[in-house]
Amino acid sequence: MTVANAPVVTSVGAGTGDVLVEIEGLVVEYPVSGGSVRAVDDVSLAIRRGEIVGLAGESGCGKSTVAHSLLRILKPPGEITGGRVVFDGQDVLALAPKQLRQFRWRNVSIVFQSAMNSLNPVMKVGDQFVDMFKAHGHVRKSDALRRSAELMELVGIDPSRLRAYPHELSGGMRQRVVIAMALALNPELLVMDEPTTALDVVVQREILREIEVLQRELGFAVLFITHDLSLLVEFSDRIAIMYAGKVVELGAARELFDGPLHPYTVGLMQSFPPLSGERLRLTGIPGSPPDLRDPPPGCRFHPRCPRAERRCSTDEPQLTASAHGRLAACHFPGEVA
Amino acid sequence: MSVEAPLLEARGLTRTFEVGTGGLGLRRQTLRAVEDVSFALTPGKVTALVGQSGSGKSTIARLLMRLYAPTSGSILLGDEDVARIRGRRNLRRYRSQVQMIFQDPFGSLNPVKRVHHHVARPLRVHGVVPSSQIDERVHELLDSVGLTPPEVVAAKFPHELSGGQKQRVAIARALAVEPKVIVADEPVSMLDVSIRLGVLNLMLELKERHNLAFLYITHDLASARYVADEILVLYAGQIVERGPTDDVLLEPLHPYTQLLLSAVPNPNAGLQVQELPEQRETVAALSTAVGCRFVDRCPLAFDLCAGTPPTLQPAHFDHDVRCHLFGAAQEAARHTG
Repeated sequence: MTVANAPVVTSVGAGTGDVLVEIEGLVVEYPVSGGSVRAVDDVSLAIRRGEIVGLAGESGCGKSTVAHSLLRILKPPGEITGGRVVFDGQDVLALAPKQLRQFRWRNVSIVFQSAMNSLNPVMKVGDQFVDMFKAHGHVRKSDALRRSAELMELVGIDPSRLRAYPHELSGGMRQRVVIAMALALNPELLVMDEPTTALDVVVQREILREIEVLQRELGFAVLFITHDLSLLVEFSDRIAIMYAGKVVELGAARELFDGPLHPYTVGLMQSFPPLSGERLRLTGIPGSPPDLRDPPPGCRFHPRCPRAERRCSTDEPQLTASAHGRLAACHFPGEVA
Repeated sequence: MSVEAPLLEARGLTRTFEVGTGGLGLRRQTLRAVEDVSFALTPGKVTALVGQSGSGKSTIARLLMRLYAPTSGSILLGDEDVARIRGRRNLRRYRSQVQMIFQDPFGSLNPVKRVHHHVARPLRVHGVVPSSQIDERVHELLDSVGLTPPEVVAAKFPHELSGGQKQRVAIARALAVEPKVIVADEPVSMLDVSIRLGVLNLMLELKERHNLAFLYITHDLASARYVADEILVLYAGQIVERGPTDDVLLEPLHPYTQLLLSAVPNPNAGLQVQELPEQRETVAALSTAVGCRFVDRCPLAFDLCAGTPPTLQPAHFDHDVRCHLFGAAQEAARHTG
């Protein structure tokens, strides 16, 4: 692939802001008997500095695979077979192992869904901070501990808890500790893969609000992955919706929520029963996502789509700007309410 | 018996646990995991038990299933005291009337047994149908939970099913013994958004078709509103508010219910949340705590709350609340009524 000659379709949907990350035409394949499955199929997404981008979709849609590709932590046999990832001018897919170590945690860090269980149970929290600092540079233990105390305060935990073992902290506090660690080296991008799904609503809300405050203070960008669309609308600047390995809609959070263009986005939004208003029997999205070993021809959503016509089963819609000036991969954008 | 007569009733249900080892300078303490909880499940009605982790909701489920014995209080099935049931045969008879659906459909099915086995086993154990009719009945049950074609699904292993399909198998298995009551502990929280609605709709449909009494245990207020006729809000082992679903959710009285509601993602409100000190509910449920169990987190607490525990009192016609703020209303009600 000739990176230099690649067409400049930069910053899909990101406007003219200062682009930090650019994912372009990303393809990730998993070998299966008799061929391969494209878990991520030609995904382009840009993240600006200091921006919160949400990535939503059902399990298996490829949202986590996109994030893992961005950090080059994709587990084999998954393999990036196409596209490029450019982070602040550097080609992430070309980084050598040593550079990758620097890239991860210093440029970008990730918080996983079960991150609160990723702390070492037999090590005090403070020692785990020190370990992390030592792995990323030569620091004195006293300096590392001082910085750790600052970080604990940053996420709203009393620094005295550095002396605690993980089991002495609640799930919400452990998740905060992991977030503090992720922010320790001032990354420019924080990837959060369903970071609060395992937590209670009240704790989830407190943590998200803290991240919002920290993000404003420190200016890092966030890629936030979840299946909870209503959470994303509150929290992010822009949202990308993925279905069966592809981005099907991309737009400003508020606009996407107020007037979704893709029938899949509409279905996703209607899958959440409301807390007020009339109590109606909802139908959600009928059927289930396609088997990616044999994706349907044309639009991958057409077998489940209430608006599908003959054309949808033959012509694959591209992610293009609709009459609304927003991006959707649909032949009839905005026609399902 | 009239249609409205309760099928399964909990009266003053209490369960305590001894915590702390007694060694290492830690004092042994009593945790009041469930205290003085009363409710009645009636045919054709869904009662939602809502609370966060640590509130005691799963302890209540285990008490109902006789996996724990109550410390005090009773569970009545019709006129029979469930705690007094002795002997395998009698216990089996009880469990044929009260069935449970668990949160984790991935863990509740034996991975080396086909779907047929899971649904046929209760039919055999409880002698529901003659063995010659078991296959036919298995297919009927699978069909009734939307697993079609039943012959094909019956031959599959759990790993060949999606999460939603597994949970449907678990529901078919629970229905096999023709129960009158179903206790569902977070049955959809591990499922994908788009699949959740299907399982919730199935619960509603089965409730209507078989006139089942349902106890729906969840931390998700929106899904509780979607399925339930009545809501019980549990905090630190006690019911703090109860009433018809929309009375509780649209006009919440208890500060804790209000907090829970404010924490639910709401795209129209933004990430605003009341500032609350973090406290684990289990601490509030220790026998050393006096006064209202919510007092340390309550934005409206006043002097009475710290020393005197409030009781569950009617605030409106069938809407009860455990809060001193409604003490005046209680007094007035006592004098006039």
